Amino acid sequence: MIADINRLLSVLYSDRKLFESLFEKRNRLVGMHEVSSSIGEDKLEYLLNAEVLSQTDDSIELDERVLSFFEEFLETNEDVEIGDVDELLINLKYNIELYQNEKDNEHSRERYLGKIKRILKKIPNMILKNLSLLQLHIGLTYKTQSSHKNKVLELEHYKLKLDKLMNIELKVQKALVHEESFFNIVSSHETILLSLRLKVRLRELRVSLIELQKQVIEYINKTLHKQHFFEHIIKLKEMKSALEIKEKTNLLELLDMQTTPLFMSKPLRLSTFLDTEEIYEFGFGEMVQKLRHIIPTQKVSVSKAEELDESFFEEEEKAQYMINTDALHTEFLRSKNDLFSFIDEKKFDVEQNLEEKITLYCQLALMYENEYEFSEKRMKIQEYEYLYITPKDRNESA
Amino acid sequence: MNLPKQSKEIFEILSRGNFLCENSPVRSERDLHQACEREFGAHYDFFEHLGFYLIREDGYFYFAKELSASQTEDKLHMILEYIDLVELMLQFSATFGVGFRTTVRELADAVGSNVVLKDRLDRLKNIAKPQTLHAQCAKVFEKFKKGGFMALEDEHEERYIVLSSYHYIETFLNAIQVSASEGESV
Repeated sequence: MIADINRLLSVLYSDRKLFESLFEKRNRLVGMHEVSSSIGEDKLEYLLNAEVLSQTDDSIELDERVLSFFEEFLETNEDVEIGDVDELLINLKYNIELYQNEKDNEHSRERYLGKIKRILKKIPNMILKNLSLLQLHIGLTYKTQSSHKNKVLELEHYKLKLDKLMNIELKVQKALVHEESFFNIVSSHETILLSLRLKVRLRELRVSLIELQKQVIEYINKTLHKQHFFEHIIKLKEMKSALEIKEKTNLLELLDMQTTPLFMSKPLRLSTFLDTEEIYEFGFGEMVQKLRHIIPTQKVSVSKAEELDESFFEEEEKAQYMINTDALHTEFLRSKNDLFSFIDEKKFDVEQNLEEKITLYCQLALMYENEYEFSEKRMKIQEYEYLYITPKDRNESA
Repeated sequence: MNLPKQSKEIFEILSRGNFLCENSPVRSERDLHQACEREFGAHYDFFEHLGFYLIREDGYFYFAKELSASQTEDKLHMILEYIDLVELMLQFSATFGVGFRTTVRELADAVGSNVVLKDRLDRLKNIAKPQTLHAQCAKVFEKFKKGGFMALEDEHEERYIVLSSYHYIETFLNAIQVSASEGESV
């Protein structure tokens, strides 16, 4: 235990490196061996006994009093400590009472007055500090906290602190009114000035506090809304994946109930064979618009074929002489000739030469093979030799 | 009827199926939104004569249309598609909403280091898998842009902003209610 300031300062100074590093690492655990290896176990033991360091389990940290002194002085404390203002207020009242009770001893009165002045200076600074800290935290939380749940939780926490701070601000105002008689009788010009300044300051702070309160409520609402929306979407997505969304929700009714923007009812479809997904996905229209200026719009000259002669379009009748083999066959069946002689003697509408007659002979022989009698007899016409063919029935009947 | 001179431009934008947004990155569109806002009544009457219903929402205008049966089907598909897209964006950033700004690169980076996002992106329908992850992410933005819910704010950085019209999707999706019997089991 160190009882005098000189001793404390020298202890802190002699191991300033250690205190510096412990202060920097105040938000995490520092192992005992880590400290003992740097300063030695004896020294550590001494510092622990002097209560500037404290030990929990196997880790070493700065004593709470030292730590809060450092934090407060360097304004690095990230926690919002509203209770301190409350404490100050109690002290203020207490000192005012002491001052009023002490009527004879001018020296003591001066001392109380000094304390009162200190408190009056301190109050707005502390409120301001807490206010700016809150503002910082709230903004930071809203913008950076990625988990919705924690965001709401943190914002609610700050809102609570803010409410407390506003409450305290109100208390301070009340206290000032309450102690009005004191400020009226006090002779010190400086104290009166301080109290007036405090009043003005409080009014300014009040405006900022209300503004911040509005903001935090808005943030909370927004976040809650977003969180709800996110959860909702995830649920919808699940149902969609399970193909249940049409069954289990009012989606189909909504389609008709909600107003529909034009584009939704008229999707851009291009009726061409190029109509792949790509096209209307990639803002095809815009692409065309852009390209239109790049590509010269001159017409592509297509090489044309020569004009067709008029004669091609004139209708031209063309008759082709066809021999009705079927009729010829029946006629042959009734005749008394052999096949080739029948064909040879037959008077066709168009004169047939020998070659054509032979072709006809062959055609008939092949087509009505079953109805003809093919004899062994060979006949001759010019250089050709042919089989003597007669209808079957005639042979049978004969 | 006292219509401002911008009415023609307003009509041209809206009749093409676009939204007119308060937070459009294009200055002229913001001005048009203001003009439309000032003379909402007159515009409504005027466009109604032409068979278009001007709808005013929080920060945006659009023309509404009655749906035929086949169009209802189209709308259904569109809504279902947006469930996927919005979910992807919310997974990417919980703050996704009107006024949200991001770049294609940011999404691509996030997808690159997050398997869940990658999976979501790969499963998106109607987005064919292009050569690069970047191009794939760019397509997501193109989708939103085509629907009129996002706008390209900076071409060089490929930075997009979510327009006020995104409210439409948000409101619609919020309005979808799970039927009572299902709600209990979920």
